[in-house]
Amino acid sequence: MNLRLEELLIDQAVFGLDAGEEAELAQLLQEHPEAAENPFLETTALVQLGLAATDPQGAVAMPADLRRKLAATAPHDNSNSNPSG
Amino acid sequence: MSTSLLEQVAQGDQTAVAKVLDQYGDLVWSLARRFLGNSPEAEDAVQDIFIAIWSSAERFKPELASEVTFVATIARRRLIDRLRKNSRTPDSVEYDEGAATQNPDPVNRITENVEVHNVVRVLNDMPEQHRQILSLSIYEGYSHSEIAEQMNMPLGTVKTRVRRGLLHIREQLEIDQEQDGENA
Repeated sequence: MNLRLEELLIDQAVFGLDAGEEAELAQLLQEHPEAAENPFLETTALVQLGLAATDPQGAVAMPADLRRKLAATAPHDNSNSNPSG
Repeated sequence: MSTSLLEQVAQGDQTAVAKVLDQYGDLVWSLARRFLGNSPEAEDAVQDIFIAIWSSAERFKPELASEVTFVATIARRRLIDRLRKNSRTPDSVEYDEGAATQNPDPVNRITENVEVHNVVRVLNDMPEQHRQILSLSIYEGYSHSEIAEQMNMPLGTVKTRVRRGLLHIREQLEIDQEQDGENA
């Protein structure tokens, strides 16, 4: 893999990119479309999970009111809808 | 083969929504708090993340990634975007016992996922300082320059260690995958 492309893909997955770097990455991806699905996104997600799982202070229960809000944002159950009602 | 929770959510199954929240709610909340601190920002971020999970559920392909990895990838992208947009330094996490109860089970359970288990093993085998740089950047959301300052280390060294560390982990995961394939 092109070294600069790899560097930008890693930076995108770890830190995020600024506008200039995003433009540079888009340019490089035109030459290397095979790297369009950034493989480092999944790797960093796994590392984040691994670090969370081993952090003794990392686990916190979600507040109940937040959980209720999240449930309300979910798609509704189409199977129970009454088309006549 | 049973249908995954996210596939059920995509079909509009409300019981699956509750199960997704049971399975991943505390995890996503814990990741957001670690990245953004105990702030209203973390709560907004978690709402964005779950809206993205609901709308992306139909794109989940169990043959390409595990459900927890799919959820964590969505969470991660949203957290990075938020951190960059607000130019914030992640807060140090101080647990307010009145606001949240420590409940490690849902998060610890993720090591039952074979890929997460393998990542933990690779991380544990890495030199402490390399592991710490990955933790500050990937888990806590610090920038290159903030890590360089915190660890009293040249910026170039931080960049190189993040890059080498991630490449090493990817390489090890690929080896594990090949071995799992051979043993299957």
